[in-house]
Amino acid sequence: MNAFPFVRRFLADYVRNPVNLFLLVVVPTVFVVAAAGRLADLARLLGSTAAAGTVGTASAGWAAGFLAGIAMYFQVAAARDADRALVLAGLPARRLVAARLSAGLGLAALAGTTALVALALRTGIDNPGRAIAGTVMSALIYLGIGAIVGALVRNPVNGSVIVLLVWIVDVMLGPSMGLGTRTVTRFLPTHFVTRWMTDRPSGHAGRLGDLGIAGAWTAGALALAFLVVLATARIARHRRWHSHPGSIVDGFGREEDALPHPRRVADPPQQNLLPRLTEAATRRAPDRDHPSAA
Amino acid sequence: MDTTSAVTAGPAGTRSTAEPVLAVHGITKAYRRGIWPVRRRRQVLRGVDLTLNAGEVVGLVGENGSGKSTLMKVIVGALAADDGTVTRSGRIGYCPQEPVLYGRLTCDEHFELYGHAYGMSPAAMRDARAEIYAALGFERYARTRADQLSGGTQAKLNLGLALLADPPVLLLDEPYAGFDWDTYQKFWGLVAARRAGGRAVLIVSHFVVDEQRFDRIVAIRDGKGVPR
Repeated sequence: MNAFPFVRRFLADYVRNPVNLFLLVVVPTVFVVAAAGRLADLARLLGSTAAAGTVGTASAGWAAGFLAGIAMYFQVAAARDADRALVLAGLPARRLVAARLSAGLGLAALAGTTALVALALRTGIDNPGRAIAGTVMSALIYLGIGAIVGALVRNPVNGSVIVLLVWIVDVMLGPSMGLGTRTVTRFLPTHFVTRWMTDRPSGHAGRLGDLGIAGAWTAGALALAFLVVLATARIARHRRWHSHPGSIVDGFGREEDALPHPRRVADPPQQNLLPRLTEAATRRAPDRDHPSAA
Repeated sequence: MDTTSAVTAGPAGTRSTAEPVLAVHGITKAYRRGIWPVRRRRQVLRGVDLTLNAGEVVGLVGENGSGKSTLMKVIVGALAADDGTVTRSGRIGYCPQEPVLYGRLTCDEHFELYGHAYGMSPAAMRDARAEIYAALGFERYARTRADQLSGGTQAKLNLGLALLADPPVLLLDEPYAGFDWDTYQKFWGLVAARRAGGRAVLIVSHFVVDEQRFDRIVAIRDGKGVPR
């Protein structure tokens, strides 16, 4: 069993809401084209020494990050029960989470591409490598943040406010908006990403360098998101799962038989259910992930 | 428990095969609400014992809030019990009380996803899907999105997803809520076929009229399972 069919359907489930698709394209475009200039003015008022062009470059990462975070939040939060039902049906939780994050990558790629195209059309891109890599890292970091909040906060208003709050603090207190020298801002999600993509070395990145820490933030956000979503998606474990020797389950009472996950147990040979289902049941192919079901 | 003592009589006097496929012992579960220091604890299940044998249809009854759905969720793994054991011999098909669906995916796409989750081959999934469409009468909605289905058709899809892999144990939590009379009758036909095929079915029910359809009935009373 591979994750691709699930990724495809998860993406279809998301983009079939035309508003979702519209926002993924329009918001980054409007943000980069219309808001970046005003943000540069605001940065100067706040005392930033960064050139206006750096705010424009950073705005592509901000836009992609915000959209990726919000899209991932709603994807994870809205489908949580349905996703859990798939796990209860036998889909390994790790595969589900991988599919969810992969679907999120597709959405982040769309938002990031839109933001970069808007940036190229508005001001041009001085350093395409840094702009593209920085935008991708911003989108991935917020993808992880959105997934974590989506797994932990069910209420859509509360969840989207949390993602928005993190993003606002990250942008407004970030290195491009005037407070970049404060020590506390070094812990903001895209601090080092922004420093690196705008080619303004932080000077406090140590041996890893700005790119190294930005990469660590990206990998860490995705890894933490994987673990948190996995923890909320997997089958509940009882405090004691075991069979009683000599009980009615004698004969199939191995320790693993008592586990609730369908993949751990064997389907005993049974008389077929419906006469018309006979052929379907006998044609069921052995499955690599369900070796015992063959 | 001696396996021979678990042989039960069916409604028509037929005897089930008495192969134990599910055993629940001493399940306890409490819900905790609120935050400290006003945190409250509500004990729902206080040591439920339940055995399900191959080829029998068991009704699970009880008052609202007695813990029927909680017990089902514990058995299937959707909730962790505080204590107790659940032992089973194979895959469980679970039909939750409220349809749990992806709103913008069609019926066909739901079956496809669940077919992958169950580990079925595409051909087996298609055949089983066709049989379920025919049995419950909603094939014309195969390409309709779930959020555009009526409540009754959503309930059919919800049930169909539990039936898809033909599991040896079926847990159905009020599966026919929203069914019309014709579909209700078809549902019991499906259940009878499953019983005849050696499958075990546990059904949460509130209908007195259903009682004669069960091989036996277990009531959840004061957090414990008692025969009725």
